Amino acid sequence: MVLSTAEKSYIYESLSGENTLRTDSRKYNEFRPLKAACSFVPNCNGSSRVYTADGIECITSVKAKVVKTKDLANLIAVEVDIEGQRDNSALCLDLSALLQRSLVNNFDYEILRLTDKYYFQIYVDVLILSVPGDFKNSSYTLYSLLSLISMGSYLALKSCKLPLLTSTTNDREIEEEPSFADDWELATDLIPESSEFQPVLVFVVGLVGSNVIIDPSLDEEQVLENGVCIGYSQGNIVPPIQSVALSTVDGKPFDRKTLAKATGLVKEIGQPVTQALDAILSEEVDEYGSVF
Amino acid sequence: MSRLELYSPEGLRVDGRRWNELRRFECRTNTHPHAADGSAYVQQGNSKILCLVKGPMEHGANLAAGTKLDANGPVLSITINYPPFAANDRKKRQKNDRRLQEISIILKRCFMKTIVLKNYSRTVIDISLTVLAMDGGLLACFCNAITLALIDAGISLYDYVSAISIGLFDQTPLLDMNTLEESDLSFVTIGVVGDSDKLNLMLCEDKIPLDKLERLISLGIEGCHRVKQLMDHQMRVAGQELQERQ
Amino acid sequence: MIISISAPTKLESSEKTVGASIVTPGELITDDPTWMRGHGTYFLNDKTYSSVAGSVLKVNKLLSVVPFKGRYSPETGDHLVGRIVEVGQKRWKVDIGGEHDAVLMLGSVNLPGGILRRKSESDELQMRSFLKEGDLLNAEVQSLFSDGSASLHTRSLKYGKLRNGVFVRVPANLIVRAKNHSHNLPGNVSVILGVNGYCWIYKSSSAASSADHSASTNRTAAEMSSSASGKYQPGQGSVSITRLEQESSWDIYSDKNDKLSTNIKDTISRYKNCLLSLSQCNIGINEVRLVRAYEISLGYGDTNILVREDIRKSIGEQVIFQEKMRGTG
Repeated sequence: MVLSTAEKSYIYESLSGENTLRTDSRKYNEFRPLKAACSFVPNCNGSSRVYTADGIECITSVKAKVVKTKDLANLIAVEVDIEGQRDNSALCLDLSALLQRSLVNNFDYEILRLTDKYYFQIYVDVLILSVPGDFKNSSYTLYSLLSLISMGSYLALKSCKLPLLTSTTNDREIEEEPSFADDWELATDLIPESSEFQPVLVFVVGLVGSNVIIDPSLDEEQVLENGVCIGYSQGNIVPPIQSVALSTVDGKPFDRKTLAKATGLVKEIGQPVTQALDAILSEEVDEYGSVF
Repeated sequence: MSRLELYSPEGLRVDGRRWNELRRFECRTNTHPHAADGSAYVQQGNSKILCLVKGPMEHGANLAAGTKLDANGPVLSITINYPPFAANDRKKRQKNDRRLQEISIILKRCFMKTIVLKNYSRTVIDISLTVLAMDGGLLACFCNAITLALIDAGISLYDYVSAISIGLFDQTPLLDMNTLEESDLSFVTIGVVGDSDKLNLMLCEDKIPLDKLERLISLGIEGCHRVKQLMDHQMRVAGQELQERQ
Repeated sequence: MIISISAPTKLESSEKTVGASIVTPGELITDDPTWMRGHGTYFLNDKTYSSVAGSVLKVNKLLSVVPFKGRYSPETGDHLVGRIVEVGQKRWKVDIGGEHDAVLMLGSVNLPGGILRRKSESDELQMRSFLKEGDLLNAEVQSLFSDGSASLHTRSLKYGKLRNGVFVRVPANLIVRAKNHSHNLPGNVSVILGVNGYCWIYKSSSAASSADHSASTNRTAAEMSSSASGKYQPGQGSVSITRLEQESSWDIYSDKNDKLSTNIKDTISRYKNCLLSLSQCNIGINEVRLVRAYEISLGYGDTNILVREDIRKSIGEQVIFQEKMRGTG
């Protein structure tokens, strides 16, 4: 929604002030309440649905396919589709590329390995539903969706189940196609609980004055001076760290100190967010008790 | 798959149903109260569809450029999201997929006859459909989901439109087809107005002997009435909940 | 709490008995042709059917169906909050959350320089300097067009551009229609509960109390006269013309906020959360309930905690509970 000048200055002054007041009473390091559910799409290996209270919804699916390859970087394919946007719009392509890069750079390829020659290829498909109708003539961009999308893909990847491999893992000598158990009860997790690997989470941090805020709302975005997205995995800051345009007006440069503040913020919130997401994963989803 | 397995001599179909049985039908309304004026979720067997209705309003976000508002009724815009993961095999569909466009035109025609047009002059009603999982009955699911979402949005309709697909196996009509059956058999999709036996929508893309068509349709009408009952029940329950809380 | 992610709330099983008062589209309401048919119905072969899902409302001989949900439909005299979406020739288009955008004619606003000033061509050229896209205003519905869209006016000091606060949107059907929709609340904060569900929470102006007083005396006078003539006059209950002339300077179109203390901002966002709590619990909103929700929320301490959905829910429940205890509805 397009804000009036008075509203903008109200929000800007509140955010950039000493105490970082947010109009929805959140703290600078607090997310909007989210709802999430997993494993509700029957013909996917993993799926998730994350949505905010104001109605933006992100549905993510993970599908796996057996491929014979040596090129590991091609094993992960990401596609982001936003309702009302063309598939080849800059926004969709940018978000897909960003997420793909962040996953590819921080992935444990061992878990995709089936045999010496065969791997699982995974397709992460993201669908963003119900973006606000007026964003084309407002001054915010939808790059802030990145944080929602990355949470969605985190959940989808962690809820991903793969059939049990019944053939041998050693096919260096004999040419043999992998075969799997028919029984879905035997399916294994893509990311076993014993594994230390965590899919990367990308957070969007808004910069205003010398303050940083996590998870800027669409109202807040319109007054932000800049934004960065920062990756987090297993307690560490990981690539990508890059600036994103959250608002189409008056960008202002930011300094080292603010960036350090932002990375500090992500480091601080990474752990609780991971825990909250993992709690959702442990919720039982019965197939017909629909998530809608 | 050979034809024999689709309908066993004992009268059972691949998923264990008899010829005149529906798949499990589930629906919810007002699933996205903050995102849209009306919303609905429909599940028929393993097919899962989400429908969001925005409007009636003056500005449509998904409206093709140059569309003029109509003084006699609303402009319906129907967009279909068919994400690559919805079908069993991952397949990317273009936004302007011919088949989906065709379906959206059929739906538009059907609902222009169902909405009380005169109440909505110079407005846009934006309908967006999302396929979460597809296991047959695409058009029927779309139609049922739109009906529920429009009612949820408080838009005036003359009556429910409930839809179902019916296939023909040799001499036997089969109600509510799944993907396996659809790929091997001829089928027709019909949409019925309320409790009447009037059709508001019909699509048949395969060859069906003309003398069999009537039997298929009469079975379909029965199925549609059952679907309408289920939807009506859901509408009343949802309405009651909204009323109680106020 | 840094983040709260919860599973979607599950609906209970639908094995409830369903009340008979609910009708759904296509349902026969009556075959008695003497009823007049109102909104939400249609007429076929001497029979009246429902066209929406809702409850039947009978007023005298008028039969209508009130849908459970739906967009706001304006009525003459409604006090609204709206947002400018388009600046046109001699008119603004205003988003009021209805089916159509409302129209605000250049002739229906007060321009700097007083009410008796003539509108000139230069005013047409500088419309954007009064109100531009995105600006919020509060206004009254002056009249309705045949397609149900509204024409607004702001010809009173209590209407006009909004500043010094935040915007909150709640479903229109939750706003309880009342005589007065702008209120001064405890904590030096005021609220406009627009009938269309758009609300504005802002710092009370220092002159508010005195203006309020004179306005209220004026209003009673206006009410008496209007009840005598039985007719509605746009702008009734507004301040007198002389005062209007004094105060109609460029200030009324200013974009600049007053200096707002941290304290006031905190109170404003507390009220914002209280409004959202009531809305989340689907409770009809009026001044009394809002103040009650505010008082209850103070018991939870820091404003920050009101972000949580469970806290919001319990505030809503307590408001209803207190009402039951006091026996007021």
